[in-house]
Amino acid sequence: SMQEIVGRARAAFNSGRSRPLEFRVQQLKALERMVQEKEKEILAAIKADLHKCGPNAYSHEILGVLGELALAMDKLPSWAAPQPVKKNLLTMRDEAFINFEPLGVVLVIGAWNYPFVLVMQPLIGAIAAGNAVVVKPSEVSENTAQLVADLLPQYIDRELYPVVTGGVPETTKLLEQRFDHILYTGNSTVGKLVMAAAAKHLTPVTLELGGKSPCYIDKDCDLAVACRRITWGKYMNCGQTCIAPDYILCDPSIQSQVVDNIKATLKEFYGEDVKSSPDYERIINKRHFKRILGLLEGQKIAHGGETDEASCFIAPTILTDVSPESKVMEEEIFGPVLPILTMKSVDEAIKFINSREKPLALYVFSNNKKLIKRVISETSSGGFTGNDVIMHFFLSTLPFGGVGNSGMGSYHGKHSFETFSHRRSCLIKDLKMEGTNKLRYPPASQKKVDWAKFFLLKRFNKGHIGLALLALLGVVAAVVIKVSFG
Amino acid sequence: MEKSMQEIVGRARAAFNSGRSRPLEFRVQQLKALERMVQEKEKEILAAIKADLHKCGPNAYSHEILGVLGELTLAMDKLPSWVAPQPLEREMLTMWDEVYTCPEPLGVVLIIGAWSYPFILVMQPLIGAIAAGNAVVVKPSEVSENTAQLVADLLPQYIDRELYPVITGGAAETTELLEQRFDHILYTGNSTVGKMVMAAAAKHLTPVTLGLGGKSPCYIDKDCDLVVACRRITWGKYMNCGQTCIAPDYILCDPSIQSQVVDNIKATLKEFYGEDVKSSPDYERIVNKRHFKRILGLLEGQKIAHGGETDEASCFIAPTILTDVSPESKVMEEEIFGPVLPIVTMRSVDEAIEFINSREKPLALYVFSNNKKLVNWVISETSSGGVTVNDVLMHSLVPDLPFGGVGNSGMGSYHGKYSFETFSHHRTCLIKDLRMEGINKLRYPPASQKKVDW
Repeated sequence: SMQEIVGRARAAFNSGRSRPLEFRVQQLKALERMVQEKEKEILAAIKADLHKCGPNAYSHEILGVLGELALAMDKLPSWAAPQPVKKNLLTMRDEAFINFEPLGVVLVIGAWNYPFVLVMQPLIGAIAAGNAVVVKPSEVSENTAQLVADLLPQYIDRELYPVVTGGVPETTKLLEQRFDHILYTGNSTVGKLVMAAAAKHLTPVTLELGGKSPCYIDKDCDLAVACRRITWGKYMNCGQTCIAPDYILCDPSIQSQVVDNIKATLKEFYGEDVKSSPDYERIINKRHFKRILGLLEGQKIAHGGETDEASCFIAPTILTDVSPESKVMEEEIFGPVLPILTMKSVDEAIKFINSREKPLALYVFSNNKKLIKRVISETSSGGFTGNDVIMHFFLSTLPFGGVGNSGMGSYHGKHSFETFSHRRSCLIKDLKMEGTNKLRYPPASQKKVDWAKFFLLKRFNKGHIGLALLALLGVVAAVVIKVSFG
Repeated sequence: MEKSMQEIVGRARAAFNSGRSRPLEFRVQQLKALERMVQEKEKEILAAIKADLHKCGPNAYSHEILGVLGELTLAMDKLPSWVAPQPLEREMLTMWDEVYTCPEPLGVVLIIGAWSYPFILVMQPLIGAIAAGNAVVVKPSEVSENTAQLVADLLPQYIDRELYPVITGGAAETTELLEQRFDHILYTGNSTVGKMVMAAAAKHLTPVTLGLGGKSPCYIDKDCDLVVACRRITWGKYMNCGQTCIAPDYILCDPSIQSQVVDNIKATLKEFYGEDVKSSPDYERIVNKRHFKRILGLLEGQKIAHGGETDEASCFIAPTILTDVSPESKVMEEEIFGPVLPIVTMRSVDEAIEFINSREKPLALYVFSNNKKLVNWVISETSSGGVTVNDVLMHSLVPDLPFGGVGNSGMGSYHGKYSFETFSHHRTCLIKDLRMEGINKLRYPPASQKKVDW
């Protein structure tokens, strides 16, 4: 039962074995071995789930996992080291630092669109931070879920890092258990349920949700390059990417050029017959296929629109002159359908973007750096890439996360480690110099308050003032206080 | 004219959307106004705190006003550096690009204060939220009604009324307020209400910072200067009549030193409050009858080594020490939040660690010892929001240390720069240009093993 599995993970955590750095590195090394030894099986599972060819599955998922593992193993000693902090006059003789400590038993709930990396990347951070981790891959990407359930126990500690498979009932039961952090990737509706369940146990959450990521194309830009980059990010994984450019905003005068450029790029990428291109994926299942098909109703299809339910195939599709009130502009598309809405100015585009929920990503294409900076400062979004799409996701030093409806918290690289750690503030004093404390003890007096003001409102950096001078000040203060307050 | 919660929050949102809370100059101007408020209205603030907690002027000044002034000075001084975009390490892929994170306001945030330090517990978060460029709805605790009313009167006289409305009221008003949508909620109080706040926040996907409580253990090692240790503990325990979220809740020590600990605390209490505690201007009162009765109930069946005198009419409870307390007793169940100090004997530090770990993670943990190894052992084997060794409370006064709980004692942190970060969104920005398109060929379909190898 869920209770038993989580209980065993907690007992394993309480044993203390997940904490030593050597153990954590050893587990990460085992994961690295797993990814290298089982590469074929992993690629096959992703292909079975998303119709994704080997090279693409490798670069979309495996590369990122290997990079994250290498980074964590390399940086762990520095991430886990106590961070000293600046002291004030009151604490100058003391040690003040922040300790990064494991939280305990954390839960990672993956999503189906990049089913391997979306469980592995959080798992890596959680292990690096010294926790026990319950892994719940998405049942929608069932082949990868089953593979993860089979592989992890072969390589890493079975009690500390159990994999739980199943659908909604299993996840609901799992969420009744108590965790010390939950990282969920998916949609806002379920995100709210996860947070509500977490609230019952005061469990902090990181929610990686989605939204409609706008893509503004300025008249002043190299349209051929812009459209090529947009095409790449939009139709990758058949549009099933949380930070895919969801829709385009551009001036009506360039709309048809945009369409033409995207069409040309599609031909470069996928050839004449998209359906037979090994690079073009499929919609994950019939339910999503039908959902996306429904979004096309009543729309002006400038390109694409062909579908085949049996294989969950939807051709790369472009819609023009889309109305903001239409269904395709309501929910996150998460499919290979690209609506273009015309905006008469960047002001109108900004207003449009701001009238909607904060998206996970925002894109602007322009040669005009000032315009780009202006859009950044007048909008909000999880992340932003100018003159490209998706790329901010791949930088391991950048925190990746949403804001508002697109999520809370962030991870990737060091930010994963921090997400799954408790930042414990520590102040180590000694029992000497009790004289200086007289200031704070009752009986109170105005004179004491005036002295306290001096000590508390001044801050010193060891580097700026000689230690000797500081110590002298302290001694002087102690003497003065002893004399003044007896 | 009574305005509904929806209207008040709606107006704050419209004010935020106007953009005026964002420019640095505006934020600094508002902070300067708050500083003026604290300086000009010092007497009124001290009087309100006195009326709520029977706290004398000098103590109210050092417990609350000093901290607020320090936070204001820090924020005004550091704000330019806090808001500056943080450039990030570039990688090979991004050598020609601009890569940085920049902090942005979240929008409209809600601050729910607590009654124990009623002024600073709304002001400190408010300062961070204003510094971060947000609109802020302030809800002081109705239990500390004088300070709540004062805050409601003063803030509109000094800072922007639409951006920073104050809402007064009790559970009913707070529940209605929590139905509104906010971009962050910072709540200070107890775990029970904390869960309700988070549940309400979940409906809107609002991130929360919860400053909760717990039973902060205080371990006294045999190897330590007991006189000094007990004096420091006495100070932190009985300050504000024990009503401090990070007060040492209970003591753990070897049975052989228990009576020395009692004697030292008794001696210190006399130093601090004189022979007649009740007439000492430095000794506060329990905030209301409900809490008075609650704490009184905890004394039932306990061995009172010192104190125990009470006076319901004035909500007075004398500084009290309990010895040989059983872990199963009522006083060891909930956070005491009063001037009652149980001593639970432990035969070794390992037993103490096991005891601490069998309970919820506390907001603070205290260890008194000359033995560095023992101290490190306790820290590494336990968890808590924060730690002070060989003193109490002090880690919360170091401006560069984040202040917050873990597990049942809370989530998120604030104080100083951490307040600013709590109330900001750290947006990742990558700005490329449209040249060097050649390199991108690697990533475009058609894919091939060769491309992957590159």
